[in-house]
Order: sequence, then structure tokens, then C-alpha cells
Amino acid sequence: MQPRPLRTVVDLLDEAAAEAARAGRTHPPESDLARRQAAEKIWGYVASELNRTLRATGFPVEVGPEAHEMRKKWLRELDRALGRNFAARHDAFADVHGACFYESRCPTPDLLAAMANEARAFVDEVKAALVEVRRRGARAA
Amino acid sequence: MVLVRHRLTGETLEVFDVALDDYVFAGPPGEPAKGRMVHRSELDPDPFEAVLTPWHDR
Repeated sequence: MQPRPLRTVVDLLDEAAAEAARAGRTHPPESDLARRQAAEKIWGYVASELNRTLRATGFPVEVGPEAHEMRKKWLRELDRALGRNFAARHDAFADVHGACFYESRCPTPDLLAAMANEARAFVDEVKAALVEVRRRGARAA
Repeated sequence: MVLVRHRLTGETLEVFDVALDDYVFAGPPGEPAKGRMVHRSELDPDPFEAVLTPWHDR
């Protein structure tokens, strides 16, 4: 079977919000699994959207275990160039994912729902910053 | 791409990520938005035997 491209669009966040809501109205173990699914989808949206956008704007991100550090490297450079705090915000999403999805130590459903909203805003801010950096670069050249 | 079969439903699932306990995040191939936590005992072959790049590192 040929690999198909992943669908990494905003419905991930819609699904994550739905998982968080389900976690709030169910009981363990279902609520625990729903929180872990929400955390995975939120982080997956952040990481895959940033990877896609960085690559599309000329900032390479390798596939595999180096992807995380390469993404952070570019975000730190954006922070330095524009006086932002993207790398720290990226790490906050990564930390919640690590604790919740991998280790089953999850935030409350309400916090996960808020994170789904924040993820969309965060990625949009990074996209705008990448456009700004490229615009500045074009002007300098 | 790591594909497995759900023992009860017969579905073909892609394994997108593997947790530290006995669960994986799996769903229809190429569609992590529809993914869910699945216990390894429900899947064939055992996804913990596979080498996997998590979908968010691709």
C-alpha cells in the first residue's frame, strides 16, 4: 500500500476540543483516554503545522527524531529576530503532550480545551512572524 | 507507515504514536484527526515491535 499524506488540518483541533469535552462528561478510564487523545491531537497540530509552514518558507525541518530540535532552533531564531517567545510556548505544548499522552499525567479537560484554542492562535502567530521575517529579508536584500 | 489490524473490528489502522504504557494512538491510515487510544492487546501484529516515527515528527 502506498503511504497517503497525513491530513493535518484544523479539524485536528476541532477533534481535540471534542475529546476534551468528552473527558469532562465521562469517567475513568474513558475520560483518561479522551484527555490523552486530546493532548496528542493538540501537539500533533502544533508540531505538524509548524513543520509544514517552516519547510514551505525555506526553513528545513528533517523528518524523524531531529525534527523537534530543528523546529525549536528556528523558533529561537524567530524569537531573537522579533523579540518574541515562540520557543518557550512551543516547549509548553511539548511538555503537556509528554506528560499526558506518554505518561498519562494530564491537565483538566477545561485546560485541554483552552490549549486547543491557544494552539490555533500560537501557530497563526508563528506563521505571521515567518512572513514578517521573510519580508524583512527581502527588504534587506 | 505502521499498519495493524484491530482484532475485534477487523479495521486496518495506522499507528501514529506509541505511549509509555500499553497504549498506542492509532486510526484510519493518514487521518490522525480520527485517531484514538488503542490497547496493544487489541492489535495484530503487536505495534510495540515496530520501528515508528511519530506522525508529528514526519
